[in-house]
Amino acid sequence: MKINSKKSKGQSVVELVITLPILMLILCLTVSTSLFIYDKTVLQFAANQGLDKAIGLYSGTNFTSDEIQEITNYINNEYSIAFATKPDIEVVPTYDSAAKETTITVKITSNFNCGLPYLGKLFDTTDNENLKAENSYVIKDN
Amino acid sequence: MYKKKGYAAILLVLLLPIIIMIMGICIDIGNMVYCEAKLMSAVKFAAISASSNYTVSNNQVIITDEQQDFVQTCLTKNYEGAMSKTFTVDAVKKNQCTVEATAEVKFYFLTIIKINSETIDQSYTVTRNLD
Repeated sequence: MKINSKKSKGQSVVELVITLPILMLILCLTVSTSLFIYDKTVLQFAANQGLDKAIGLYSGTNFTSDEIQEITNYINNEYSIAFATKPDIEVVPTYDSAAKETTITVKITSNFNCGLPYLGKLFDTTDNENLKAENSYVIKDN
Repeated sequence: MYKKKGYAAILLVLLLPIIIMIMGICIDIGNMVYCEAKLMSAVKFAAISASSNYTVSNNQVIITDEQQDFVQTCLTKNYEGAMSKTFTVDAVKKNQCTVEATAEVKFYFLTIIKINSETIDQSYTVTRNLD
């Protein structure tokens, strides 16, 4: 009986050694992918709110550095809990003279620290290290 | 005791497809939620842009094809796959404009059970102060 018990224990350890890495790999892939989607969604909402703020501040000319700082601070304060690191925020108004329209764009770029090579391919993100969210608002000339 | 040999390995092989399937469903649904958030933003800013781009003539709201195209352009700027369904202005109040849009979300894991994609819809109404 003693021999049988030892053999059984050994068998269990071998089974654990084989199955545990597989289960851990599945767990890591799931957590990493979920964080990737979560971060993308948070950045999307942040860009949405940032553009809301930018539209409110837009007066028909380029943004002043104070206004850009106000928008940046607003996004950082609103999403301070969600952002692991401070993201890069760009507020760009561009004028298209041919179409006679101004486009205000808020771009947010953040590092993704749990990146796995397959993620970029799966979600059509060319730069796997960086997550990007971008929202644009178009104003037609009257 | 002899019969229990390899039991965990067999159990893992049997459960692995179920585990992967559950994982896949979570990822696909997560991605769909992200797409809904993105479409919501796209529709919102398209509606805000479009709300200052229609004309009222003889007490009637006029929406031209060019203005419809403008809504589609605004949508595409924020969500490449978004398609404008309707762009309407309240005929009575004349200051409430609504944009409805749709997009198709492709699934990666649910294709195993023949669910290739899901269509998502969003709408947004903007009320303009005409004074």
